[in-house]
Amino acid sequence: MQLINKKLSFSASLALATSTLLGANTQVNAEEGWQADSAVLIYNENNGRVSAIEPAVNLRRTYEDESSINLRVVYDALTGASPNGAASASVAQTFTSASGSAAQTANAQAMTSSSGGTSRQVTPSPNVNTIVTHSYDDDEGEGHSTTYTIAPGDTPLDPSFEDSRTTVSLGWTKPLEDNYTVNLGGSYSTEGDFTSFSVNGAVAKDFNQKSTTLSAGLNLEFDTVTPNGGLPDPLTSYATHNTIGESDSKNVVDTIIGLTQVINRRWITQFNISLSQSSGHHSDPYKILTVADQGNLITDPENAGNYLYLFESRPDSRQKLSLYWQNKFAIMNNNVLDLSYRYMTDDWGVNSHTVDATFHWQLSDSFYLEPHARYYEQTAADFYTPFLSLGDDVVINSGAITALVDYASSDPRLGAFSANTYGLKMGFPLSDTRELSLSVETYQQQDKNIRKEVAAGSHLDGQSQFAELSANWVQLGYSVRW
Amino acid sequence: MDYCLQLTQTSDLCRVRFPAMASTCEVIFDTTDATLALALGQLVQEETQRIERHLSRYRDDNIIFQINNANGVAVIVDDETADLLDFAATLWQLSNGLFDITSGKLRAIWRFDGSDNVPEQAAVDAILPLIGWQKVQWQRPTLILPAGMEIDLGGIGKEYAVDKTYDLVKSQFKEAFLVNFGGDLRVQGPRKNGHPWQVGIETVTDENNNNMQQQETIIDISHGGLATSGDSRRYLLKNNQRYSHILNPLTGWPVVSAPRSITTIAPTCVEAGLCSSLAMLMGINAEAFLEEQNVTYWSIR
Repeated sequence: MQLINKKLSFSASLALATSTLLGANTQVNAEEGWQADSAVLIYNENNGRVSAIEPAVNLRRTYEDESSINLRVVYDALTGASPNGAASASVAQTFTSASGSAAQTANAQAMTSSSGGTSRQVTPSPNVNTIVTHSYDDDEGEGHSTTYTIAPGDTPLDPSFEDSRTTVSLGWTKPLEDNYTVNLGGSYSTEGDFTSFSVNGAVAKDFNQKSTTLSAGLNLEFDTVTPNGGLPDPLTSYATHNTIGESDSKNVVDTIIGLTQVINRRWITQFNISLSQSSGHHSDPYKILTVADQGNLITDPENAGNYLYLFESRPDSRQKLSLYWQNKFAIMNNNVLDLSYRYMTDDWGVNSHTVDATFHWQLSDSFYLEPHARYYEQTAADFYTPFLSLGDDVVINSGAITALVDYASSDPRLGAFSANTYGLKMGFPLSDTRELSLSVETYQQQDKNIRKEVAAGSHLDGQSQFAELSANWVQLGYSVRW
Repeated sequence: MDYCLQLTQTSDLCRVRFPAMASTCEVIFDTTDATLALALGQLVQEETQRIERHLSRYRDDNIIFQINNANGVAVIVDDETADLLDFAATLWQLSNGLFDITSGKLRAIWRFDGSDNVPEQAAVDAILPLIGWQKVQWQRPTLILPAGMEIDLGGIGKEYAVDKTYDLVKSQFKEAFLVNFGGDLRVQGPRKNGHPWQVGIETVTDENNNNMQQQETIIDISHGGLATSGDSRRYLLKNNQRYSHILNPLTGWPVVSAPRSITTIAPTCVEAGLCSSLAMLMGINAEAFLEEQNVTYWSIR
């Protein structure tokens, strides 16, 4: 029996003694080595909506020439209930979903708001922190047909939401001649009915003794959606469920230009402009809209005994422009205040503002706190509506349903709302090379939509037209370098 | 008149040189900004001279003099000296007594002047009782050195100065640079042109002044420290037996069958220096020791 008490090698002991002798300075030079970050995120939407467990591992290898490779694997397991897009009404409503589940809803929004690195972020430059955030519309579960009934006054939620998703990303960074840094990467994500593949590249150049960095990046993304039950024909009857094919695709091109400037020893600022152009299938195949006549649900002329709901329809292209400004201030010794603002506008009519503040409060060598607050607000997409009105949006002539609008969606993510996020992270550096952290965040939306008028005493009278989302999440993280 | 500081500007770099620590000290900056190079060079020179004043055993106004002349009385040392003594104590232990900052006393009987002046065993025996870190009482910050013993931080002083000045430059200069104090060096790279720094290992000559290598070895290095230990000019020769200037503090005699020179690369200059001088102390086993420690090295025998 040998005790597992391996003596440090001479060179390791020497390195240790030397780092003590020369002080912390020598440790700051990230020399060759590995870093692993692991985290588990537990996400929970209130009122029995989506829950998710998301373990993530990030491995990073730094080489002597200061190049590095990065591998990230994230797995999500989602369960719960998700709004199907129909309006709440004063009568019971029964739905039969061909797919067996509804799309992932606002949770993507809440999770991209988290700072725990769980969002799907594309970061084409090592010098640019947060650039493009995609939240995908298409998500669903394993396909068994289910029927569920929603009680009067309740938000119609598809209860059988269940999905898992795996994302693998690989990145490579290398400093080149003349203060250039190049960065290449790719990512692949897959789940039951949705795959996404992306490649990205960026170049950064340092000026003025590295106090100024200019960067430019490009990200190309190719998505394929293959809904269970086929791709529904937009703005046709939900109960009829006509399909227009098995699958469709969407391509996204993101370009970004960034400037990072060290103002002084205590202040670093960063400004990014990014343009995103996506084309292809944007509609959520599991989202529907209620058709109401003066606020009353109507019978589907094609399917007697069912209320009329239509599949949603979104434009086949979207252009987004976003401006991002971030500032980091060093305060006292090891405290850092991070303030950022983002403005986003797109040709769907969604304009958003995000203000984010995080304070890294180093209380001792082995403990820090990071309070975090974020305010977000957005306007509604031009085609957002809580329900469709007979006569204005849809007409029925001798049993045939005709939509008068080209596009319509009741997806809450396209509605007008504001949201507050508050969080607290506790970090425990266990040594120079290991750290444990725990963060807790809470998210609350507020409805900002203009209420659509309905006749007094009708099915929709007095009903909520926007289901405000609230969610909480906890993340446990562990990092180690060697 | 001795020069104090020399600044050279070439088409793609600046170099500052000054004499200190019995060597030529130089810093090469990967910039053509001569004003900046001069300012940084002066900082390096000041820091080097400070370390030399502080740690030299040839002065009578510093802590080393105080310790060596305390006659067995406790001396309270400053933080920097304490850090170095802690380091020396650790290394003494790690090397099983081969690295010993109290061994300098042996120089009283060993003079490596190329002659055949090898001392008698009796003379060695007389001096050995005054050597050995185990006889020293060191409890930070208090040092009690038995009367007659001496400490000498010369074995790590230059490498320590290289690393300290490297940190100093690095905190104020973001480009590549190289600190070279008489062949012990530390580099920050790669250079702007994408290339590593190139360092030549000094050639070793035999007794007839012929180069022992066909050509100079050029080492590419873009990160870390490099140091060389050797006996190229300091040795004794008696009855065809070559006595290197590397003294074993346990026997009081020069190490037998040591390589003529060992150059190693390590993350810092201090580590590189320790690895190469300990390897020399291993004599015939020098290369085996370095192999075992996974150290990158060049050996000349």
